[in-house]
Amino acid sequence: MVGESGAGKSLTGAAIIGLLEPPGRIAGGEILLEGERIDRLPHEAMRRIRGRRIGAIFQDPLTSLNPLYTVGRQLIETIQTHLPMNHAQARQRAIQLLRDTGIPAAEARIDHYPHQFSGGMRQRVVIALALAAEPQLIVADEPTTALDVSIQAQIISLLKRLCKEKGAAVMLITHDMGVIAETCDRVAVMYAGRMVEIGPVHDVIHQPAHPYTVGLMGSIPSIEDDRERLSQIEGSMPRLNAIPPGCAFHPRCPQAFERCRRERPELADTGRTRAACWLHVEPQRRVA
Amino acid sequence: MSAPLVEVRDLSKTFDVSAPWLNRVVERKPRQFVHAVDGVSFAIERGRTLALVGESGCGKSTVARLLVGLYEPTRGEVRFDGRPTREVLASREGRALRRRMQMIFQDPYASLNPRWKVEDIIAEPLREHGLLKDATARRQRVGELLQSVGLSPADAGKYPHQFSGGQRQRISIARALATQPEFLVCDEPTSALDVSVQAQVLNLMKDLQRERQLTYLFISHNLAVVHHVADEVGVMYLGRLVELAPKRELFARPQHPYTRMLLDAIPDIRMTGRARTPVQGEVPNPLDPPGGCAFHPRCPHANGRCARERPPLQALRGVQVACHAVEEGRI
Repeated sequence: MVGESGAGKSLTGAAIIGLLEPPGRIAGGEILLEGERIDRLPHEAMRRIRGRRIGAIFQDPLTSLNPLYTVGRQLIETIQTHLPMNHAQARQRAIQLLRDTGIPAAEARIDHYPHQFSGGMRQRVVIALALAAEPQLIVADEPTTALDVSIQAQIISLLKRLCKEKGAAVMLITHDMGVIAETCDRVAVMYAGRMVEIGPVHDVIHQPAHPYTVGLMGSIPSIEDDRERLSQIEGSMPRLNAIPPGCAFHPRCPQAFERCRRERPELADTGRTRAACWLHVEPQRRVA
Repeated sequence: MSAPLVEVRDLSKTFDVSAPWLNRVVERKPRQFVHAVDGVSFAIERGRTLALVGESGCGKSTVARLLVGLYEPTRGEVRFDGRPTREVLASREGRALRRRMQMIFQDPYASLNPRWKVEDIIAEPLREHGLLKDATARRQRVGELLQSVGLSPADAGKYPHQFSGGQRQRISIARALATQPEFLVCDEPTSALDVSVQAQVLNLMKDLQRERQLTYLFISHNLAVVHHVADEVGVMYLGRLVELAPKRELFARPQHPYTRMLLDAIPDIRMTGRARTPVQGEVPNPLDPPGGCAFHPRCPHANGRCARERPPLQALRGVQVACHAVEEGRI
């Protein structure tokens, strides 16, 4: 899931994990996990799903770990909460998890506190924690944004490899299209609280259908092109309390016409991807 | 080739991070120093952009602060327009020099005073340097500055919170331009911004450079951004320059193993299937940097000499690079 700040991608992730902060609430729609509705579950039932069936990884590894407990204690607690294991078994599993995430000398490191790890190593611990109970789904919200580029690449490939091995599905939330291109199968582009395009990553990157996706892709500097100027989308995303009527993107859209100002487009097939844009209903309106 | 506008020779900055005196005595701790910047030399010609890249803690922001005089160098010197800035700043001409170099900071939320109107923020350098004493003339000038960064003169009466991140960064650029400087030090000016807004700000900075013949030192950790804005690129690792090369050269034929590693770590957004080697290891603790070449524990080409002897930055293969393996032709 990609989008700029304030597009609503983190809130979507938080809703799925059941961690929407009040006064935020799910006002409509439903969330299904393996065909079963999980958005109306009582607190206690949701607590059992979270961690066991849905794991979460957040941006800042320091805030996801308790600074007062060793990483081992936090891992063992999570494992014992969700899996029927005694302390010794859980500790063995914790060491194995740390080893899987590439932490050297896991037997010794398990008794260290979070502050004794570097940023990249801490994020590995958080990944181990998210995978502790072998969840079916991992929601990763900007897992590499706080890390340096060289570490970022390591963490992305680790996350990708582990989830593949363990058969977990991943919902990756990021503002970084590069990370998406490297990691994902499908991508959803969000704008002002709505999904404007969704499709296979390759198609969305190379043949975006929504004018916002086109603008977003053009504005990303790349080491593979030599443009003098980046293409830019004029203006900025509207505040969520002042979303324009019709298509929320119309005030910034070079292609906007009358209908865009009046009616809100829904996601529809465009051939390769699904996009919410009137241009695909009225293709004769497209201006070159 | 004209004389460079900015010249930096053997610039070094050491911070004392020792425990307090009493702890040192009682716990027998030694004094501790961080060599944040260690023997950095480069030059920037008028109207050009030098970008410094590196990961957090490599000393790039310290270089920025040393250049504008926010820190005093421990060793080495900065020369601006042929004269050492340290002496000039201490003399009566100091103010005139400060006018000629300005800085743009990373966080547009922290670098603008929330209690001041935009007008006062942009006019502050004008007042400080006594440039336009007449209030009407000053207001006129603020309006022009706002227009030059793509905002409206009517925005002068608003407060920073009424603007988005990108617009705030435009305000900081307008403030930096107020004294008509020749040299701008930009410390991660777009890393707090969304990509579409980043594109607007980068385009604006390029336009301003062309119109006003500005010289930039551009600090960034994002190589794609650097590729877009820079003429020359310096790569820093643990306080030292490991490679200094013209942009095209650096991106087409990176020499230093660290530069190669950084380039390999950029996500392949166009999905071209470019071959990548995974990056190994992490940046070591700057308090206790490895001996010899600081990069040797992570370097696939390191040998005994790399662990013992620190490679100097020297001209090799048409660029400046500090690496024994490149010098010996091993890579």
